[in-house]
Amino acid sequence: MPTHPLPPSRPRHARRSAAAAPVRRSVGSRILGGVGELFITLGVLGILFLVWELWWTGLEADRERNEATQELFSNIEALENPGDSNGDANGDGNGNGGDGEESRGGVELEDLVVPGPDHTANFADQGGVMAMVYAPRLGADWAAPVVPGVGPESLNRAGLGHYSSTQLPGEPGNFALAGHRQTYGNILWNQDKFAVGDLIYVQSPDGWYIYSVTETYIVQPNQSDVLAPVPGDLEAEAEGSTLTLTTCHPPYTTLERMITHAELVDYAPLSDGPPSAVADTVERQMQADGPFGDLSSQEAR
Amino acid sequence: MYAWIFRHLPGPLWLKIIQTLVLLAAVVLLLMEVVFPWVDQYSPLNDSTIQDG
Repeated sequence: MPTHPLPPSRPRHARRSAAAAPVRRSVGSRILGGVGELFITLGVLGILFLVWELWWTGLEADRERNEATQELFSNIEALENPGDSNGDANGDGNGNGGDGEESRGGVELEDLVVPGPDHTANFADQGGVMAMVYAPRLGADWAAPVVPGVGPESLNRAGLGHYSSTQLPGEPGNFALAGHRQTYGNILWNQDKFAVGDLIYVQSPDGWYIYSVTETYIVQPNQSDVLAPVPGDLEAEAEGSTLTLTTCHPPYTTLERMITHAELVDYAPLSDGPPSAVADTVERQMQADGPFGDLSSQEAR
Repeated sequence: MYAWIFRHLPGPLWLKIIQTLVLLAAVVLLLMEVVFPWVDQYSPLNDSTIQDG
């Protein structure tokens, strides 16, 4: 016999049936609940927007950057092998040495003589991808296609946009590029890692331009003399070729701009093949398929 | 609001949960593909250029 009698079951049963019945909430409670839900919704929306801005845009940008890269490679290939679109994607060096294209006038840049950037200008005029930039310092396999213009439609699509008012690689003056720091694949996230003497390789339809970093610094967003042919000096006439990268600074703000300048130190014709420091990167870029596959690169193979 | 929606979904509980997930996915996709790209033009994070001229 239990010494303690069981607790009466009736109240518990009553409580359960009360909980199962729809609760009549007061008007004030329902309004407060609705406001609470609204706030929670706004919070979740804000977080989702950040996810989109910082991560989702990167996914799309990576895909489009890959397409842009393949576009440039196939255009360069078409240039090297006119009438032979099934040529070896590696462009094995002795493509077409002297079919008149090479007889363009050379441009003197201090102690370098390079061919004029006619093809690059041509590509840019057509609104296509005009060059690739390789910078081992920014990360293993770091490569970015360059498109004309620095509007959102240019920067969001590829990696880098060319300030159309500035010069081309191989012209005396400033080859100035802009890139995102934190969104759309944050291509220039690591720009602050550049050290003096780091090499940046520019592959254009006119050849390989090798730049050496001279300085990195921070300016106000309206300090446009960093884009001058001789950066910082609006009056001077350029003798050499400068590469300028601009991006936002500090990260996650747009209060200032980070500027990196590099000087042209060497040139090699495309037929020499990629410089050894970036040869592997170039090879992988050529084979890279986007997450959804890339038809143009498969055709090329 | 959400309780009201959940209560008005048809079918047994497991079907309601599936419908909820589908609705959520649709809303998120709509935000990611349509709403956020539109909002983005007002976002301050994207301007990495030097004002030219």
